Amino acid sequence: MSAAPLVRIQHLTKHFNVPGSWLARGKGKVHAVDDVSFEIFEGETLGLVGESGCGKSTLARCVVRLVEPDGGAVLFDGEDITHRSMRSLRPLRRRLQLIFQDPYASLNPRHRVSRILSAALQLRGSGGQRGEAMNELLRRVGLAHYFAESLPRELSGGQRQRVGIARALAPEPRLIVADEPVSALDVSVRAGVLNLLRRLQRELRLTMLFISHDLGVIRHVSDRIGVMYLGKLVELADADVFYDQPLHPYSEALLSAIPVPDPEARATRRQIVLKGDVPSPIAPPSGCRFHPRCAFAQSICATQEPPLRQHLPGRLAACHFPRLPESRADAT
Amino acid sequence: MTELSSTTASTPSAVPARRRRQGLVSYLARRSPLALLLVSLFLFAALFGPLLAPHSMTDTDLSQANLAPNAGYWLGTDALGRDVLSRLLGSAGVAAQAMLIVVAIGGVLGAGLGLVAGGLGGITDLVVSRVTEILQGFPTILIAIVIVALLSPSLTNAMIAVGLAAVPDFARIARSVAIQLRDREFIQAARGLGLSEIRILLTETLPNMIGPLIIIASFDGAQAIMWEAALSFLGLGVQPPAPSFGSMLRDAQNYLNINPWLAITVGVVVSAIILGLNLLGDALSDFYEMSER
Ligand SMILES: Nc1ncnc2c1ncn2[C@@H]1O[C@H](COP(=O)(O)OP(=O)(O)OP(=O)(O)O)[C@@H](O)[C@H]1O
Ligand SMILES: [Mg+2]
Repeated sequence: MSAAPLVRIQHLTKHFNVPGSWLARGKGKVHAVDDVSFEIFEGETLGLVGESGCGKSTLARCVVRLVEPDGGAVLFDGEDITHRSMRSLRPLRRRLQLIFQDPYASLNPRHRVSRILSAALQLRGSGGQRGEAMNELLRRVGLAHYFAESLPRELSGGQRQRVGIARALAPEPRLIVADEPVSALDVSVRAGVLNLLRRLQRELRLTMLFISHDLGVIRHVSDRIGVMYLGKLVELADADVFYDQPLHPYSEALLSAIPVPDPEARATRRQIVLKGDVPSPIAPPSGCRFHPRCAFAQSICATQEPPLRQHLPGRLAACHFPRLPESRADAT
Repeated sequence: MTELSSTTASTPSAVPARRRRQGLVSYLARRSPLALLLVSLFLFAALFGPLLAPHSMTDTDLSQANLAPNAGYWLGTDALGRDVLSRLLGSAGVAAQAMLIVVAIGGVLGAGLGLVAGGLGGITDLVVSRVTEILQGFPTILIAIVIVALLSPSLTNAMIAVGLAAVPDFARIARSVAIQLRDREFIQAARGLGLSEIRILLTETLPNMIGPLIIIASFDGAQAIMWEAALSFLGLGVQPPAPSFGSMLRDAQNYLNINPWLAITVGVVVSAIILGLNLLGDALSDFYEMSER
């Protein structure tokens, strides 16, 4: 890669006490994010996928430091922000913004859109021209200027999420973390919001960490794809090769589950049904966390945890038996 | 079919989809007209009582003592010949003052404590919760007597005691709302903008607890009026000859056989005000429950 990474995540770990039982404290912990490392380069979008509960939101919140990690490090633009206090993070806030999943919960029901946006515009510092900046923001996210006077309850889900996006854009951040920005929306308005994000990405050359549980959604916005399973990053690869040839059996299974419009491609692709349920993140399986559900697991998988390492140029997977082209040929 | 889809497609982007929300007053008028009527009458009497009063509230005229309701004195007169209607109007003003003092003290202190306890959590919450529990354990009337004994009998002093007793009610509701909101996404968004926790409590959390606080205010307001009457009845509140519901009831007690009218009118008026405020509180909770959805 050419430039230094904007964000560097090193061995990031976040465990939660099991909710509701202070008696059980110390006995069990939710391994929400476990030893995850990756980098995000300036101008690129890293897509992060994984099933519900695998730790995507926790990771997102650690990256923008709404949550303090238990271990590892978060470096933003070379600066270690892992354990910085909320107060000392303030000057950095305008550089790091989050788009939330649920637009019904992420806007204060008592504040008008103008108030929500001006709080975010304040981070820019310059006092004057705020009205103009607000109109410009609304225009950017495809909302007419009179929406400034609306209360969130007067807006539809799609319109609310546009306000959420405008709020994230307002301080002109260098990194936007989008935590499932369309998954709470009606299917009918999803495409509109997704297209908006792609346009903004192009026009503003945004650097994004884009999170979703839907590989179909993430394909449209990402340069690289990361796959999470039970708190672990199991694969990291360029988007184009990833969709054709995932290395990790879990990625392969996820990909096989998205519907393919092309009947020819559908015929050649095997449908992989995962056995069993996602294990509990309180007591994750030994060795490779995916091994109880993996069709290719061998004895080593239950005992030794595979590190995330490069198997082909630009393609990393945490697997003892990655689905390399030659091994695919064997299987069929 | 085509018509339908074209119209629905064009509306959302063109105009903000203003979902019609029912106004508070029209909701109350339908849900609980009695509450609206009683409380408006009370507030009207409290505000304009001195202007509306047909006679003096304090001038005595023994030739007109203990009259039953008649054309000149619509609600009769008391043992000292004072007009009952005029004194009731004055008492309404006193009751409203009592309510205001109690709600101001209880509301500001209680909401502040609850907001900080619920919003910051941890050790702050622990300390504040214990303090409000202790406050709650105190018997109101005893504090009132102590305060009045230390200071001097007056409406304000008596109501300070009642206001302090109302602090835990407001604190409890403010705390529970603040806890509910603490990890909501819009609060996290505010943190993401670098606002301090105190600023978040004031600008993000507080506006979302106004509804519940108003509900408590109407219940505790009714309580305040009852306590004012009780304390004035015992001579710890409003001092004669100024009118108040409590002192009027005490006067009436001595002449129950000669002039039962007095006790009845005062009793009915006080009960109606308290009923109105309680009904209003119920209706308001329904309104907020409905509009939260
Ligand atoms: N504040 C918390 N306290 C305790 N456990 C938590 C907390 N936040 C998350 N968890 C747990 O951590 C795990 C990961 O949660 P997280 O929200 O990061 O998953 P996710 O991948 O974003 O899921 P989803 O797709 O449902 O949003 C879950 O098992 C969840 O129950
Ligand atoms: Mg999530």
